Amino acid sequence: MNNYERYDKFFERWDLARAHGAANDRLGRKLQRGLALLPNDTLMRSLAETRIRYLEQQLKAGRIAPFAQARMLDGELVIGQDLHGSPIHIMLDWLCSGLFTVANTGSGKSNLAYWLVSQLAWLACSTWLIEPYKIQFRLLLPLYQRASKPLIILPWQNWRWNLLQCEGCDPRSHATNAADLLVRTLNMPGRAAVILRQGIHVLYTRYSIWDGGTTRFPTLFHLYEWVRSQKDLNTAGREAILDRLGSFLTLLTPACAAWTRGWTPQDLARHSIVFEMRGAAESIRTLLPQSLLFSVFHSRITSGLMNGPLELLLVIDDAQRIFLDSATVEGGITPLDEALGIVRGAGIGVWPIVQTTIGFSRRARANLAMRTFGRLGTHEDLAVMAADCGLNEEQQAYILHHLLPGTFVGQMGLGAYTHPFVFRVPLAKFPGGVSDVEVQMSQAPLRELPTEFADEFAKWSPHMSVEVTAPAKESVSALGETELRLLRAVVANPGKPISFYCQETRLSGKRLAEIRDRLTKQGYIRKHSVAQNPRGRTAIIIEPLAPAIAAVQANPGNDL
Amino acid sequence: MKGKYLHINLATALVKSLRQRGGHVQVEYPVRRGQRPPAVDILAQVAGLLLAIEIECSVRRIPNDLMKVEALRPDMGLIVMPNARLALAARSVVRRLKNDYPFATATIQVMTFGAALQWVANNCPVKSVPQVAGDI
Repeated sequence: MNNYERYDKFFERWDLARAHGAANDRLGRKLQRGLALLPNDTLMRSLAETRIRYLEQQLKAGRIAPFAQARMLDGELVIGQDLHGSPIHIMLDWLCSGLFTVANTGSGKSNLAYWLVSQLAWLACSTWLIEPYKIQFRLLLPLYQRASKPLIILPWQNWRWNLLQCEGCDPRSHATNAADLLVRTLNMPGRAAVILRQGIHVLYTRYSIWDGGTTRFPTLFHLYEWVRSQKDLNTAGREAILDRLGSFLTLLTPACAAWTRGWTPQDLARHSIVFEMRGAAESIRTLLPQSLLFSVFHSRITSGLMNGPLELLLVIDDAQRIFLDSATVEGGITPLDEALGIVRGAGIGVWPIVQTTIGFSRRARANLAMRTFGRLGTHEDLAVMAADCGLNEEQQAYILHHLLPGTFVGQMGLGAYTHPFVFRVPLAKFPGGVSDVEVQMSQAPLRELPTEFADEFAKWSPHMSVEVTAPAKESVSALGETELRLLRAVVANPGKPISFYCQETRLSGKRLAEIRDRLTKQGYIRKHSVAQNPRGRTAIIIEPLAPAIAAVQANPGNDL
Repeated sequence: MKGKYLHINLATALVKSLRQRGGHVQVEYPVRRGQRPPAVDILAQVAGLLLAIEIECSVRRIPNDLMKVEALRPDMGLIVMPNARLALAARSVVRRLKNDYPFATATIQVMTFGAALQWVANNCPVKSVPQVAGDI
């Protein structure tokens, strides 16, 4: 065999043909086995040669991708099909090491997410889907219902969020990171971070957090009020906090952020949730998901890393803003980047989906072991991803023109097969839409969780307001018995002239006219002058108004 | 029916009177096709006459009533006012708009509510037996 190979390179060529699926059918497998036993058999060689020549011709003509067929046959999830139609499997636990997807708009990123997440509905793993702009993941609701697994659709307005809630993690690091997150997101000066940390420290002391209190936590509204009450702080830093935090809290509304006990990441991690950020301001869209990721990572790290199976997959669509390539206030690594590197053992998988690598945190990218990319719009993206995935020049030239929407290049940093491969994702189709009622009903499991609202901030405003109320009006009981008799008669028989009510109330016309005028002035009845006959004087008919009806209902009598 | 207490009360009494006399009465009848067309309060077919009746509690909307009568072209238009003082004012408005709405001003009558009821009683005889052609 070795002598022959030295001259004609038959087995090298056969290996290449096998990489492109030449030995996938029954005859191919027999040939492979036969050539291993009898390498010089003429008949088997000629049969194999036919297949090799055909594939070589196809390769030269550019009809076959210069990628080897992925040998990924085991795993709970199917990431897609290779170019020959065979499924490509990945293990569920590989997702703990992170998956990174980059492709420009319209190239099927969301479809890839649907495809994988719809498979997760049948597996014992929670999923958080964070959508900054779209509301498409809610279409997965019927699919999850079919799998008897609740999927919660949570618009940001319904979130019970408290940034300063440090349940399950160290309050010291939480306070530092929360202040840093606020300063970076709201673009405050460096001095503001120090003031915020000081404020959080004071509030944690007030709420006995340092002594182990875990039932009530201060909110951002408490922090704002503390900064407002401290007049002797650094003016520039204080003013920056009051301006930016004030406008942020106004946008966020107390209904979302004034919870002394909000939903904890540990509680949320038991459910599959779609976080919809549509309609939120940019600062909210950045801060809420980042704080959520940060809390869940830190609570897992605090509870201990054990290299367990995947328990929670975080799918972050349009994640550019969350994983920005920026540093902390002191110039160090961001807490999110740091956490991303160590959550692998915590059973959390992170899957950021972005449109370009430009501006995406390089530190974050380094810790995402599985990479997929689709059609890319810039040379920079192409060069970065080709280098990251280990593509050769021929493969780069191929993908430049052949990555159609729904076709991706993948490279897995785990398992036995770590070469790049091309795969197609079938178009996911979902039945119908999801109504707002279904969205509200889906939130029922979260509403049962223990929470506590800070009532003092229910009508919070960044500017001081004084409520002016008029003294309570006199009650209706000022009406006398004769007035009530007339009102009862008018309500029982409306639209009659005064002579009719004289008979009904057994009062004289003069006396009744006086009462009528008094009640008209008080707004109980209204007079109308109507000519009910072609001749003679016009009749004055009486219309009962709402106060009269209320007065009669409040004082029912049976003297009529 | 549209309107406030008095408007509804007067219209209800007129509709009742017309129906008692065997008239075919339609309430809030639109004067033309369209999404939100103007409508006359009562359109009645009684005693061989097509009557368009508008009940008004002020003279503010009299030009609109004239426009509606002009559009519908009934045998007679009737503007019903609650009392004689308002009826007098309405008549002067109708007179003033004679050149703008020649047909309507010629056809229209302004009456008080009592006079309108009396007019209906005088001109629309009560029918207890249908008038059927044939042997007597």
